[in-house]
Amino acid sequence: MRQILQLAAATFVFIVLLTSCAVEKDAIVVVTREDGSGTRAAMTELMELGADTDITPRAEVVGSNAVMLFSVLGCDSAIGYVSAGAMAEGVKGISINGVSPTQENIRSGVYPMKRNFLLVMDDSTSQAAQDFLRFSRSPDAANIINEAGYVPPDKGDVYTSSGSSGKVILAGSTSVAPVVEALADAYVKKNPDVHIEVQQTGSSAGISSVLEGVADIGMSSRELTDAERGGGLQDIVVAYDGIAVITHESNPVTNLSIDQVRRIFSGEIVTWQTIYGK
Amino acid sequence: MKHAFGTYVRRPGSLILRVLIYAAAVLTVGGMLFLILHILIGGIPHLRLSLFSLQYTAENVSMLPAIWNTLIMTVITLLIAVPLGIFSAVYLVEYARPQSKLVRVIRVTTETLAGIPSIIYGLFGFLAFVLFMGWSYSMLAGVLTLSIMVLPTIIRTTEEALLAVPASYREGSFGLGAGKLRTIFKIVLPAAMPGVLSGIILAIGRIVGETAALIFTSGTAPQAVMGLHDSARTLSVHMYCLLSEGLYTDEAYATAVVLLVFVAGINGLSGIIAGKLSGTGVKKG
Amino acid sequence: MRMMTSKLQEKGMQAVFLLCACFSVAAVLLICLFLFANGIPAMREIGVLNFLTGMEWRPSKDVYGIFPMIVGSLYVTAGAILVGVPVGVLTSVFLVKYCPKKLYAVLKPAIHLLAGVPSIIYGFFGLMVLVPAIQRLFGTSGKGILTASLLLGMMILPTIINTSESALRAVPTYYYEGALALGATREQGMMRVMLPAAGSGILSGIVLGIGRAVGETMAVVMIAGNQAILPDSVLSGTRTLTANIVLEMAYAAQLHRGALIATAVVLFVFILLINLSFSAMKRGRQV
Repeated sequence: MRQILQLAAATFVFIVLLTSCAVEKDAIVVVTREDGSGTRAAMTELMELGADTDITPRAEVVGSNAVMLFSVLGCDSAIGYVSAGAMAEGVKGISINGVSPTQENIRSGVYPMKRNFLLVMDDSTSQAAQDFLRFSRSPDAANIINEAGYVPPDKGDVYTSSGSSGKVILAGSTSVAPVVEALADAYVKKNPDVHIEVQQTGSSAGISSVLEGVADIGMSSRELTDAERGGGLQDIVVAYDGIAVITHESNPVTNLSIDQVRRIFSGEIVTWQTIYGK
Repeated sequence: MKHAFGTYVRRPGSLILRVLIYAAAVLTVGGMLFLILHILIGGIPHLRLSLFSLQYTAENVSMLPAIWNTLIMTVITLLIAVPLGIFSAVYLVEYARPQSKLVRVIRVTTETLAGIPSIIYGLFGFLAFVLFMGWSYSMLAGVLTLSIMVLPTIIRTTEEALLAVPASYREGSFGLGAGKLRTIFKIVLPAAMPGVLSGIILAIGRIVGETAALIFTSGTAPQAVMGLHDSARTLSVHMYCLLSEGLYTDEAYATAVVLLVFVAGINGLSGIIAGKLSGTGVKKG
Repeated sequence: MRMMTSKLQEKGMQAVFLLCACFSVAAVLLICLFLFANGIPAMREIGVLNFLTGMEWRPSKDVYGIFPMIVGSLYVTAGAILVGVPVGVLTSVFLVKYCPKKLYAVLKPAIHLLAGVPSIIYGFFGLMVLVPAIQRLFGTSGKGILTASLLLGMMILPTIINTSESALRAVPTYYYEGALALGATREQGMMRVMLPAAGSGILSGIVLGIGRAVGETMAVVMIAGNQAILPDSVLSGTRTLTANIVLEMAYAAQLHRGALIATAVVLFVFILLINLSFSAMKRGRQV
């Protein structure tokens, strides 16, 4: 008998625990990338969050574009952001100020949340690495970038193989890596003697690995800071990318103003009702 | 049965307990089946041939290079860790006085090593090998990190196996005029082999499944590794990368299936060896 | 002459064995050295108290407080224990006393397999199955303490089951038989006699489970939500110490990197404490 009572008490406590935290329906689930992510840095910059406001600490933090997509795919009240080139079926890219995040709109510059994918190097870049950089600006490369869903910068000279050899290590942003991997595949076909290694570590890590000599070229999805430039780093734009604000397909919202995006991500607006109401 | 039922009516607590025990067992088995079936059902339809291409490209996301890397890294790690582990155990069992200070210190450190989470190993490998030694992300850094990580497993199982070898074996060998070294290598170690092997297999399982210790040491380069200084991703790291690069869900499921098969194979092997151990290994007497 | 060389050989190999045995000591020292040398200065720069009790973690503004992560690790571990221990211990009772032999022959290897499944697969499973399930049940995002506890509970099951099973099997059968002879039901014999007798063995299994839960990284980071704030219910997200490291390590530079290594130092100290209590417990059992 005593055991039954104990059991009942335990169940009761458990149920109380669960119900006490019943969540309000309609709450916005904000999903963000981790601190240090290039995508997050670009997002905060584009939202013009000032020095004293930041993305709300109540936001769920995910470590990559893919988990971001999983999270928004699987939750109908979620809102998040990804590299526009990484958009997938099942999530909806919200229009910002009435402009949707298509490749076309990013190319023409109408879409307001546009950022650069950078390749970063210092003076000690090896010959093979420089050759790869030359290739990355060729029209061939531009086609590859375009096909991957990103926007290539203005076309440079046609690339012809100079027969270089050696090993090139690229490290950095997980957003830039897919583009660079596609470029590396094509480059190695032209230069079979070059071995290219692509490390996905994150923008800041990529930049510091160039400084530390761990990598030849860094990949960054955010701009260099003044300190980093002062350290003797240079960069070139390898592609343009938009940051797409995404929600679940079933979400009726299709358009948000930059101001609304800012207020959602800073935690000022907490329910979808606030948005529909307008 | 009627009698049992009567007991339960008089003691409802016992009935509830019995129900709970069965419920727990069902929960364990159910969860296990669910996990395995979910991965198999999700993954087997996506096991395409292109996932086993010789070259990794961003398009085919082949896992064959990762499988190759896993094999190479496992072999090299074992080449380092197994002699180290076995020799340590030999010292502890055959040479050291059981209660000496040194032995106690070694025991405590081995236990400590066994308890350290893999993320800390990863961080250590990153600080010590990648940065301090300047090897950058390389298989070498990964292999050394893994060697330290699996060392306690090998030491402990070998120790147990050596202790299980009857003292009469050693006495007999000494009696026939063999030296200590000869006795250890010709008599004691062969007799302890099944136990040592099961430790090695446990270590292989840990190496194959490891992710956190490798991301920051051997890195995530998807190509097949050619030299010690190349970065290489193992199968588990490959799966992690698939889950962070883009939406490669199907491929991740397929990779998970291959990983599971690996792990099941390793488990099966250790089961067979454990069977040998209790069956024919060391005969009492 | 041959005697001499063989004696030399004996001595030489003994030295080699000793050297190998000392390697694990060296490894622990090296790990401590690298972690502390990199972590302590950062901790000092932030201020030890600020670091340990700070409520805010904002690397972009150089604010580093890991209190929410410490709490997160504790919650998630406690949750895993709440889920894993009862189920695990009861399952081991089932295996010892109720399980038919044929079923046992299947279950035992299966539990071993479960112990060997890589944590990345557990994480993936959690993300694809548990997260949507919790989401549908409670209407939250699905990631949080509850989800992480359930998954970790599942992950530590094999550890708990195996240690409790061997502890239960080590209890002399006449304990149980005596209880039955005195008129106890099987369940009473089990709960009142066997389990207490196997108590210390089961407890050490639980401590091992705690160690595994505290140290788990790849699975937790995918399903815990990772908010670096104090959680206000079991459904809200939380960030563990391990998740903090693996999430941001790749990106970190300078003080931020130092702060993450300092996080690892805190985790390391936690693990050391758990290990110490484990070996103390083992020693207590032997006496």
